[in-house]
Amino acid sequence: MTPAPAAAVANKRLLPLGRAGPMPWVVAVMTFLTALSGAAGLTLTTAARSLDRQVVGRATVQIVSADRTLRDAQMLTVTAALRAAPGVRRIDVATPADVAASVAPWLGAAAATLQLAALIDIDLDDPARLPAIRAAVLKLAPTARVDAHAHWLAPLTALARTLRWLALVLVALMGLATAACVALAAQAALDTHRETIGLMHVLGATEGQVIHLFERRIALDALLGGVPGAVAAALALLLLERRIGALGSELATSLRLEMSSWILLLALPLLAGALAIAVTRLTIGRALRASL
Amino acid sequence: MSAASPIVDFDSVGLRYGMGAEVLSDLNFVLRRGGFYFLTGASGAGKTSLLRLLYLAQRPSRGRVRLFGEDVVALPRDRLPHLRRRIGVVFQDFRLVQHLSVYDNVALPLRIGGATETELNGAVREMIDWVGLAGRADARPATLSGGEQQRVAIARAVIARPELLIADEPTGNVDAEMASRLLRLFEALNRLGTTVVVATHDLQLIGRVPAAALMRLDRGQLDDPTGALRHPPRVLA
Repeated sequence: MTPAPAAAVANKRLLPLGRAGPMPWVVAVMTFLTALSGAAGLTLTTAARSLDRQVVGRATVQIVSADRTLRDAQMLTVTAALRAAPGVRRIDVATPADVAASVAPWLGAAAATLQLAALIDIDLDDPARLPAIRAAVLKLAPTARVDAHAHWLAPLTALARTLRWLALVLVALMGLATAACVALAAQAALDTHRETIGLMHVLGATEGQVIHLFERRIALDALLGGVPGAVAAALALLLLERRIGALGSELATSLRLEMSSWILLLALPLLAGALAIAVTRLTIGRALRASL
Repeated sequence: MSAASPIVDFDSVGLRYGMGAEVLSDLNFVLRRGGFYFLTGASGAGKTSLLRLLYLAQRPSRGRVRLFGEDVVALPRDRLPHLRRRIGVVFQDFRLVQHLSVYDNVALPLRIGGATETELNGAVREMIDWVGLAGRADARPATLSGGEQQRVAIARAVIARPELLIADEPTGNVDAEMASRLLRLFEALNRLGTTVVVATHDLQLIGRVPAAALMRLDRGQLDDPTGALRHPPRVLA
């Protein structure tokens, strides 16, 4: 006789495993928390990338001078020089009048009397060009300031990166906790059915046949818990996305999950099932190997 | 393989559990194919431990055990199930799977061995009929008498036509008439070529098979009163 397909033995309900108690609930909670942590990690990855894309190579030139005539002349000269400079992708000029208009709602007519700087926003195709640009600007306007946006936003980007790693560590910890829960459930099931397993062993059942009896049930429990956990997390994330969208902030709206991230999160129940199968194989296999 | 070739060969075998003293010491014997053996000895003499070595539930702590010509001490674990399928075991406490029917209990070795439902159905029905339980195929073990459970255990042990049949106190839980029927069953299987090893305290039972070899265990040491372990026994066929 050829060795029995493991499924053929399992299908005969050799082990009345029934519902494995609290395991689906534990997996549901773990999947929910894993999905939220994973979503946080993925969103922060996207946001950090988007922030990097937005600020890298962006700088602001401030033409500052107490002499309005000199300031306006420097603004025109510097603007012309920047337009001609290689690698400058975009120039956006805010004249002192524009700046005064933007602060007028708070300062009123007094805004027009202030010595305000002219602001020139530039986008460079390569951030490495910034020192050359700064040198060229200072040559034309020695009192001007050239500030790279990346410098201001560096702490925020670093925070986003740290939070992303923290989220990934949380996901790994949830995975470990789920694996531990599955291992305990497998061990408990093995202890409950030790007599039947011992008998199958003596009758010539292979390790694979015995493992299959458990992994089917435990994988099903993991799916039973994983699906509602993932669905609940998806609903929570959709709600959060709507709330964030309502803020209208460019930074906040960059905190969105991409389609690939949604697919990954919705595949969590399958991953939970696969993890359950792997852990069950490991746990039961090790226990069987210890028996002879 | 010839009828008198060894099916079991123990060479300087010892067994201890954990760090305890040896429960079996220096066992040297050969069981011939087609032989009928009784294993006897006082409680605690090591009969069950010796049977566990024979049906591969245990490896020896020392020495060499050869079964069906294979050195089971050196054999990789994944090869052992195939050897176990050639052995039938009747346990003293039957060890029936309580949530399975008589039919499914008897079919278990064939399913483990890879038989399809179509292949095993006829054989299982025939075996259940043979042990006189034709009307109880769907019954759960808990609803059967001790004797009926014993017969299910025997049917399960022999359904796959084992080359070696091991029975641990098979008459311990049944009346005299049932004991006699069981013995006839074992003799019939032996005539078909199965090597039979029966562990028992029942001297009357031993006396009923005069051609059988007797192995006596005393505090883990094996005695060979009939000399059959050193010399091939007569095959009953």
